[in-house]
Amino acid sequence: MSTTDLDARLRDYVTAHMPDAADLAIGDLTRMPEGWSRECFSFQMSWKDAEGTHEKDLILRKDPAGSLVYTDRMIEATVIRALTDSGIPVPKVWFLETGDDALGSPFMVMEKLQGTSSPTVLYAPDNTDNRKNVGRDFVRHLAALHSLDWSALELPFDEIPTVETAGPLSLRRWEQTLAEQQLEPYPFLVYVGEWLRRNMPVAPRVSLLHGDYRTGNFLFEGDHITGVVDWELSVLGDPLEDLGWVFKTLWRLGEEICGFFDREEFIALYEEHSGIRVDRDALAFWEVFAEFKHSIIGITGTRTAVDRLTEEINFSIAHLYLPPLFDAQAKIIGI
Amino acid sequence: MRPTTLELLETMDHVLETQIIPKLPDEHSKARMSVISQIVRTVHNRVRLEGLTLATDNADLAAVIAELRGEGGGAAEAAYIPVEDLAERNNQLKEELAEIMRTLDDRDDPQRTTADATIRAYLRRELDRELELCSLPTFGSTSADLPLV
Repeated sequence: MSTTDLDARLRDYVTAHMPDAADLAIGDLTRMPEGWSRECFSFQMSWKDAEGTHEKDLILRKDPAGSLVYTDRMIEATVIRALTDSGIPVPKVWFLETGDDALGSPFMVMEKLQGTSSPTVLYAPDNTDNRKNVGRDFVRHLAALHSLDWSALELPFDEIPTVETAGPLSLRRWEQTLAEQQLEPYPFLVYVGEWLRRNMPVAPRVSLLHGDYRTGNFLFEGDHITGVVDWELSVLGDPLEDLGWVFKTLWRLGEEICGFFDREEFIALYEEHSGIRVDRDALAFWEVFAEFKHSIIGITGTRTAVDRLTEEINFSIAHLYLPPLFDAQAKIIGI
Repeated sequence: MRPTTLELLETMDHVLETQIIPKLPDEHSKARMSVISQIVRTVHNRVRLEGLTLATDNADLAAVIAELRGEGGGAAEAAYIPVEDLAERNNQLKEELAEIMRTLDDRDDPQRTTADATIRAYLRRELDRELELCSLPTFGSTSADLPLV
């Protein structure tokens, strides 16, 4: 769909869903470079109603034909809405559409938050002090997410794990995705899957997880985080699963986890804010799991490229990430 | 090994034709990029046919030379195995290995431990081969770093 068509169809959709709005206009619809998994567009919306004239900067987040992960916009929007009063900064969701009729595929429209997700700004040599403070926010929000009482929220999940089933359920989900997406057999991942099954820890508690918590998935301004975004992989599970993902080598800056703190400093801050004790063996398990999960995401992207389900050329090099991701797993489990 | 070399070249040409060439600002640039597209297609042909062509020609040459020298039959040339056939066999063997791994816990020690060590050693060797294959060469000053996802 061309941007012109998308613009017109988005305007029709918004007009139909804001019956009290007059002079509704959509402007500056622009494809954003961020995001491999969803098509994101920024735009401005203006309208008049009984309260006056309004203007909002919004983000359209739309499902592409092919992706790195296949997720549900209803789940993402519901989690974000549930977290509105949690103290974790999330964007307001304006519209959610789970059908294909309006724009050709499911989508959500969110408030555009202030700030940037740019690693260049975050990791600039003269930004060290700000970065440390952003890092404290990063740990604090993750700890808040993991320690909140999710049972009091209206969440959209079918499966409610226990501390015993949280790990096995996650492994089952990702092995299922591997079986669906692989274009060829991967004995290495079969081996790691068996290793994960044999070494599965019991969760310290069941928490609401972000699923892709890392640099790039939050916005910051100066020395603080203005928003945590990209909740599409959110799920209930072992909080250390999220922590294992945060600790991935790929997001590190030298030895600093996500470019913020060294390993023990990060864990100490997280334990202080969450009250969750981090078992080091369990964390090592979830670090292997994170590379395993990332490998399956890469395999999904490879299939998307081979099946020509995307125009994004990046997907054609997704397979190049696989051997380094396998190597990261191999190093931890001693292959 | 997916995507295959041919699939990668087809993707590259598809992007050139649909996303790059139409957006170039002038006919000169478009013509130059069209030449790049022709080179991609030439490489596609080479990858697809070069091994088979050389193997066929070598066998042909050996037979002709043997005939010219009055030697009956001549020496047999090494058989050519297309990459597609190697890949198919590789998949069969990997699937077989994966099946063995899934039932490894059924074995008693020390047989299980020995089998596990054999599998781990193979996985390491295979991974080292894959790492070499995905380590991008640098031409000129171009960075070989992968973009952060």
